[in-house]
Amino acid sequence: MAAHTLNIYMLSLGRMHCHIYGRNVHKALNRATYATALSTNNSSLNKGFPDRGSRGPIIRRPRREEGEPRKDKMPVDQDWTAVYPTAAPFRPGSVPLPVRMGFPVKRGVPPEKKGNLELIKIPNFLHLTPTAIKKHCEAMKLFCTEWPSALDTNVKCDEHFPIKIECKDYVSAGTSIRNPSARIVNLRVKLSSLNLDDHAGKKMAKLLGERYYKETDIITIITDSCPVRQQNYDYAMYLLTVLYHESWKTEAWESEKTVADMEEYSWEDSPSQKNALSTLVRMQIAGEVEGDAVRDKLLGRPEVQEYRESVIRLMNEGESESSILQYREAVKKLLKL
Amino acid sequence: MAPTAVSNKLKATHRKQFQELQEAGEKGERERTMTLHRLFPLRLRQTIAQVRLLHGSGCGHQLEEVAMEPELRKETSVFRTQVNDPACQSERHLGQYYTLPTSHLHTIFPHGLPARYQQQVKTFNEGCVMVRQPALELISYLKAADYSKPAVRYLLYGLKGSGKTMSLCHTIHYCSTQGWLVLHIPDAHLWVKNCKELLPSSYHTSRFDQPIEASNWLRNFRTTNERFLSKIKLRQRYTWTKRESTEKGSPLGELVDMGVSRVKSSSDVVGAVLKELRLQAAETEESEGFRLAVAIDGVNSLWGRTTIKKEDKSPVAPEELTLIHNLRKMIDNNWCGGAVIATLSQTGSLYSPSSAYLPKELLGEEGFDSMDPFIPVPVSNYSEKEFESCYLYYLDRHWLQHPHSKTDEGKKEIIFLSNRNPSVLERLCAFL
Repeated sequence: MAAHTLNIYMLSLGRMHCHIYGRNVHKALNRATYATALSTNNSSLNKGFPDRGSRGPIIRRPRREEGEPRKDKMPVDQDWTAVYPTAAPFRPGSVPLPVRMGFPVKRGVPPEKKGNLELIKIPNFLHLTPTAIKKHCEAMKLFCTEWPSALDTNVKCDEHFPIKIECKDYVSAGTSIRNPSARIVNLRVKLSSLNLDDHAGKKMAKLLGERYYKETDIITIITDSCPVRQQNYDYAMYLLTVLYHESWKTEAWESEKTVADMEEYSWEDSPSQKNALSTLVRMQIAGEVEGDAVRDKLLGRPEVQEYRESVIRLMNEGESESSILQYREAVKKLLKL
Repeated sequence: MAPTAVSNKLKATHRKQFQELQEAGEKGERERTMTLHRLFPLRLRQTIAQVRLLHGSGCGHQLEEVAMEPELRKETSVFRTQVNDPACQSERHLGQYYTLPTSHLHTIFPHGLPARYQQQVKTFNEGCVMVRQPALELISYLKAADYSKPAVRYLLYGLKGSGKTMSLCHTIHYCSTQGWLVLHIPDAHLWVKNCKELLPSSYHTSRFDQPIEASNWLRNFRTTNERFLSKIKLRQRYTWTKRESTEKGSPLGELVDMGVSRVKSSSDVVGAVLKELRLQAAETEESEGFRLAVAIDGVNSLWGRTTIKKEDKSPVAPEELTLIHNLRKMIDNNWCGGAVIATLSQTGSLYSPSSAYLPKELLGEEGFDSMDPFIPVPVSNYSEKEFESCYLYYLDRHWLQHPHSKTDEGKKEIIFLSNRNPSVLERLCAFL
């Protein structure tokens, strides 16, 4: 065993020696050539690269000439979906648009698209042109069922299906197919499609608060408190049912509703009515007997009705030049100017 | 002697202009007047008229010159009117300036005019007010109203700087010339802010007095309504302290003097004065009655917030101020024989956005309910015609010194910059 190892050591030593010897010889030769021939060229033609010894020179493929950029060869009626079939970064050579992006230097313009990192960094939707989307739809049609032919207008859809549920599904390339945002359920329904009377409608609007938008009359309930979509959907339907039934009930404390709580201005029993009546009464002065009959008679007059209309308009709609002018005309008639 | 002396007076430049005028004169009468007005301001025109008269006597063009004179007068009065009495003004005078007599300026408006207008009056040595549609409308309502009925409330509203206070002053001038008693509160905003002294009221424990503002106002009231002070007699006895009281039947002047001299009780004096006037305005003309005009500028301050604080740093509500409390009583229409003319003002108002100018925005719910039913009178920026006359007036007064402002282009620039808003225009022209 010991001899064996020794042998190996000897061999390796020997090889090393030879190696060293060989090199020295090599170098000597080199030196010799250098000394006599006075040439600067290395016989190995290294061009300044480090000496690779017996490994040989670094083989670099000769640089190809770059061809014409694709945008110059594009016909006008080409198929764009072939250029950008999927989401891909911005390639200046493939997009035939003279786009510029970036902060311009002083007295300059934004930099051009060639070599522009800003354009590459931002997301682009070049793969989602209308033609591309049509192709996607055609491909997806295989998996879809027919739209019912009876529901051809939006009005009919609203009539038969007033409640609209919106959920989102998420697809991404990653290790997990789950996305927690997919549990959110958005329920939309028009208040007018629910069977509510005047009091119930106002109470519902008050209960919903921000979730009810008066301009479009739409109730929006967004639920995301449960972990599963099915649970959120059930919760949203439950909320709707409870709101409906609660708003039909009238509680005892609802009788304490004050003027400040009212949604709309009502002229009856308002300070405006009192002022108008007292002014009219004072204008009649002597001879008239105070009483409900007089009051009703005064209220029934056309000027008073007109005045009432203008005040209601001012209060409910807010002020504008035209509403103020209408108020002015009404007051002038009332005061007989 | 005369022609040579006068022509020596004219400088070389004027001589050139004069030659141009003569050339224009060959073309025709109209051309001549146009060139005359273009080249020469008023004073020089009068000089030239004299010169031409003298020349004309030599050349035989006498009749023409004489005919020129009245035409001159007519042309210059395009933006001025000689009708100085507001009662006689009508739609014909729309857009024209009428002069306020200086005596009236001192008596009727000791504190009423806007500050910048007062400076303008001092600069121009005359107070000229433009006759505008809102004021005329108000005056027509006042003329047509029945004064046995409860007082009608009028409210002037409009954008900032559109001329509400000036319209109010115009209406007050009318009321004064008609012999009404004018209760003018120049800026109600001054009563709800920056009060140096706040005394607890002796009359009502929860209220506060403002002696300085009240005595100031009483002094100005005295100046405005001198002739009424001796005529109106008090109906009630007012006790100020254990030893002082004003008897029933004494003239109003005595009360006012007492308020001015005894500053501590001046707010209560104001309250008493207002009450007396309210009760007595209802009388008919024969039994020494009078008409009462309550003119309040910045009426929205009565129902807003104040910046005055009590000693424990809690804010004072407007109702807790005696002056405001009494003024609110005046605005109610439970008295007859007069009118309440009010202006909204955003400029001095507290806690209101600067773009607000419509009545309900500035008055608030409470204010609207108190003023209701009232007649809102809108005041807008200058119309084309009004702008023209304002521009001509400034030119006439030599207020526009910049040479470019006298050209058409300069005028267009001025219109663009000011959007024909009276106050902006005035401030702009002050630079030119």
